[in-house]
Amino acid sequence: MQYPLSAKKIIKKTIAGTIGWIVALFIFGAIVAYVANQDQNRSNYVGTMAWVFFVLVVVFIIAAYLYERWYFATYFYELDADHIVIRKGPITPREITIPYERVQDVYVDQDILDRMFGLYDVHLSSATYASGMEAHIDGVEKSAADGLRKQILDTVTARISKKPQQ
Amino acid sequence: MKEKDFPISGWWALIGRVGRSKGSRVGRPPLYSLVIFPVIIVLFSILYASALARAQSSSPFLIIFIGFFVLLWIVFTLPGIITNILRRNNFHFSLDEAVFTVQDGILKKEQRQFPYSVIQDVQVAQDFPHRLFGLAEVVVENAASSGLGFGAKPSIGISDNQVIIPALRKQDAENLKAAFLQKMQQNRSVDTGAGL
Repeated sequence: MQYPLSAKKIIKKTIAGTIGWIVALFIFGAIVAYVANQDQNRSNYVGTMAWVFFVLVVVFIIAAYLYERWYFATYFYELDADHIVIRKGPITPREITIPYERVQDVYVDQDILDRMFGLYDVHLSSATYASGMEAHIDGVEKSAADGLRKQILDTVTARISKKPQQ
Repeated sequence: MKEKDFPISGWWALIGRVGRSKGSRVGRPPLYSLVIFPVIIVLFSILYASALARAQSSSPFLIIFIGFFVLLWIVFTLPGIITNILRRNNFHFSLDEAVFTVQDGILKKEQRQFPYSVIQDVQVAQDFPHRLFGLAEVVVENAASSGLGFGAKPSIGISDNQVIIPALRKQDAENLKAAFLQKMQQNRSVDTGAGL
């Protein structure tokens, strides 16, 4: 892989997967603090509950982080002479092979977490629904995204152009 | 090259998702009910037997109780397995010179020819049941989209714009993918300016 994925992707996907739990934890913590303040009798019980919940969330975040590391380690893509190959998923691997001639367009996008981390997703559109789901190289830095886009577009253009090759 | 060069494993009878359901929802593999039902039977039997023991009465109802669950088990599992076996045995494909020919269907027969030059992509995938048995499925797609019952998704044979060849040994799946890619190379489309 000439343009490797950014390791920041692991952090980004861990946050994206657990952000709901983190927010829930803060809300729950606030409620606990309030209840404990109001009622000294119940504060012990509520405090224990808060700890259990906190530990669960931490375990969940660690598990998510380890999974994302694993996902990152098994992520594979290759731009070979004739095809683009993308393989992802450590437990249930999916691999897609697209000939350059079938690429309809290339686009780069970022969601809000991508913007915070400076990551980019490079998508390949082809004519099928499944390729929209499978065929994207996500979590690369700006320079890699530009490089990938240029390389793919150059190869596609050379393949489908009717102009004589230089 | 025909399907006998890339045999679909007999395990597919258990792990194939049953039915050709509408929408994105797909039936569960018979494997799941095959495994889950005995667990339920054993669990409930233990509960029931212990309740009887506590009441200090013996009762023939335990047998009836278990028999009922075994019946449910058979009813939920067997039709799926039989359908899967029939589907698998009625699914044929061959990689001919310029086209990929597929025959599919138990009662309603379908036959389709895919020119290699219009294949959009080739996928190799392993979902969880496939991983259990060390198998993989190959999916070949073209760009067809009309009149084919969009949204109907069996897990073998023709569906929409895809042909799914499931439950191949991992190595067979890789070989089949390579065979497709090679055929696509040999049958590159010529751009006439008239689309495709």
